[in-house]
Amino acid sequence: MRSPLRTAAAVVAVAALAIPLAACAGGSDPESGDIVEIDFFHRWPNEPKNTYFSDLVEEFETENPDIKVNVESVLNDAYKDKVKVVAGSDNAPDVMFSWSGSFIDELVAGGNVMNLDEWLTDNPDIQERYFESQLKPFQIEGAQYGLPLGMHAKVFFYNKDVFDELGLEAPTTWDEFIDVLDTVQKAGHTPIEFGAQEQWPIAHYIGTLNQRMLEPDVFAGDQIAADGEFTDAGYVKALERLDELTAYMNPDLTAVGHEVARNAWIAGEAPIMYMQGSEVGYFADVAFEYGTFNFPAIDGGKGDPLQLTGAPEGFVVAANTKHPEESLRFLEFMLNKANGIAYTEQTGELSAVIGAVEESDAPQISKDIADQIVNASAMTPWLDNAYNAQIVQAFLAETQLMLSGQQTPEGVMTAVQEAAARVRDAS
Amino acid sequence: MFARTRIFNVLYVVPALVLLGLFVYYPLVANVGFSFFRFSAGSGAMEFVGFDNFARLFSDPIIATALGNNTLFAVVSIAFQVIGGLIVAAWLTHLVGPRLGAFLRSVYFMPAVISMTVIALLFTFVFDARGGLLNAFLELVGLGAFQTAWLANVDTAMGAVISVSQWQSVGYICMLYVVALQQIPVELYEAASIDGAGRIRQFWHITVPQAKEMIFVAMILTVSGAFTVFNEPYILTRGGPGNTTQVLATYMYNQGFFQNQMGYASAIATLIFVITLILSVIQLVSFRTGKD
Repeated sequence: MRSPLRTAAAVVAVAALAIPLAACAGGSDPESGDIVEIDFFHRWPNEPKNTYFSDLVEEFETENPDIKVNVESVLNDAYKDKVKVVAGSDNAPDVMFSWSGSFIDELVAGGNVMNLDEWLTDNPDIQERYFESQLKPFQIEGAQYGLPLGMHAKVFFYNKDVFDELGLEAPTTWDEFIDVLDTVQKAGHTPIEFGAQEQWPIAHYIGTLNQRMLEPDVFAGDQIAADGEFTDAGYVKALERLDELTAYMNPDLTAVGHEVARNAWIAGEAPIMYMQGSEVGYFADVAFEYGTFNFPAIDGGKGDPLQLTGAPEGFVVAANTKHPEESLRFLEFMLNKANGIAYTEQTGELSAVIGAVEESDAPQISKDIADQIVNASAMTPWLDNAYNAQIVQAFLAETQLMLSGQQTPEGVMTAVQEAAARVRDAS
Repeated sequence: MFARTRIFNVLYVVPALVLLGLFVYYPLVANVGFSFFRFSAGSGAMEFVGFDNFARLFSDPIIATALGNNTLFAVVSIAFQVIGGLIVAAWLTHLVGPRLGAFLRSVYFMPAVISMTVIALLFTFVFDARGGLLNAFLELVGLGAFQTAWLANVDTAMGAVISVSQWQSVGYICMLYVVALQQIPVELYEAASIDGAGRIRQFWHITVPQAKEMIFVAMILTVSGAFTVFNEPYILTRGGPGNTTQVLATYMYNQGFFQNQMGYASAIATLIFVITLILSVIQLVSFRTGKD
């Protein structure tokens, strides 16, 4: 006689469990009035950029009361992982951060990014805002897919006080460089600070060394996934140069993170460190005079020694955005000149908008680096953006082993060649 | 009446079955299917490659490294948690007074309620090469010669990662054992001691056989845990230096989300599933639980 009750109980139980499932499946967002919501995904949950971008979004919303921008952010490595997954989904963020190079290539190959050509043709003044050299890395097969936010380049920062004390000049050739390092070491200092716990700082050294060492055609050719073989003897020689430098670096390289190394440099523990121009923003506590020099030319190297390593980063719009007009309006606003100046002043990074760095209150050294980037004979892309992720992984993991004395330059290249063979097969 | 009861029984099971099917069995089967394709997370295009991904598993040296690390993880976990945990539990139950026993149990259990992420971050400070707690301690007790960059030295990195996991889990497994040991009738021990059995013989002949079911549970937990471990190596070393501390789960993650080889990552996931399945079946059969 209790059955009706039990039936009711069972039905309720099943229904209760089914409701959340139905909610999962539905997922329709209510259209609230005439306000359009767009999603914006960037990679800076940390300061100062987190505040910079939330202020910027607030300003945009005040100027455009019909648009609401939902911001989401995750840090660096997690961003790389996450954006690859969400960009292909129906819930792709409308505006997202992207590195230039293989990162944007992959997004475009997946059909996830909007071609901006039509919009830029209709609005020629937008395209003219940016340095030509900073737009180019966001072009794929001649079409513009993204716009640059900041310019980046890697240079050696050095402690002028130590150099003056020891009577040293900034080196321009490899032999001069080694002489400098020997002198510093004999004076009882560790010459170079290097943190190789994370793998990306390793990429910056090898990327530059490869470019300096290799024939430009070989260097460019191996960046094409379908042809890259990495058999040129220059690769091994480049790694040998890095190995040579480790004798002048802090001990336990692979146990030291980049930020720890940078703080050690700021504290004056070693006079030289290979860093990005934008890192000047962290140098408020530096108690010595500092300067920069480009990676020295390598004797016997076939690459252009005046090239600078670095690449811009910027933003793209999702191909399947439901609100293209609003998304583009936000993109345009975010990367206009006024915000370029604000970006340079508040974050210490170098805006890719023509004149923005010059008109900002950035320190002279930042302006000099910006000039160097604009005037560089060419830019060498970051190694981790130049090659397929499988090749990058082999290159960096094996070189990290080499830095801890467990791998030879030849062994690194064997692993890279195997990865390249897999990539060739797949493409 | 009988038929109606059956319908009710089924009805009550349905929600659980639906949830299990949707979130456990469907992904499991789908994953095996994915292993036969090459695809990336960002695009829908999938290319059928047959057994290529599985063939690659057997020629990939990092898979061998990862398997070795997982096996080492399992062996050390069995020694510390399954065996060590039982000894500690027996000691807590029989040799320590009830008050001190309860206090120590809480002390040992404490790490189990802390998130692994927090623990791993804490241990990065312990193992830090410059001024880490462990190196400072070695210096203090005059063993400065043993100082090393624990997480960056290829010889010590995996050991350091495994030790963190032991630190966390011994207390938890120990707690499971304490519950089991408290169920053992005191008369057995009394009878044994009258027969002249010492502490060690009592342990071997009463505690171990009586706790057999729990030993089995502990074995399943630690061994399958050792083959699916992810947090500790991911946070402490990210698989580095090089790939020396890569385990199957971190390598799968790296392949899938960093290298964008979703098909190969699925094949690694299938491998992990097959390994844990085989190990669980072996243990189920060899312990023959429930038949005693």
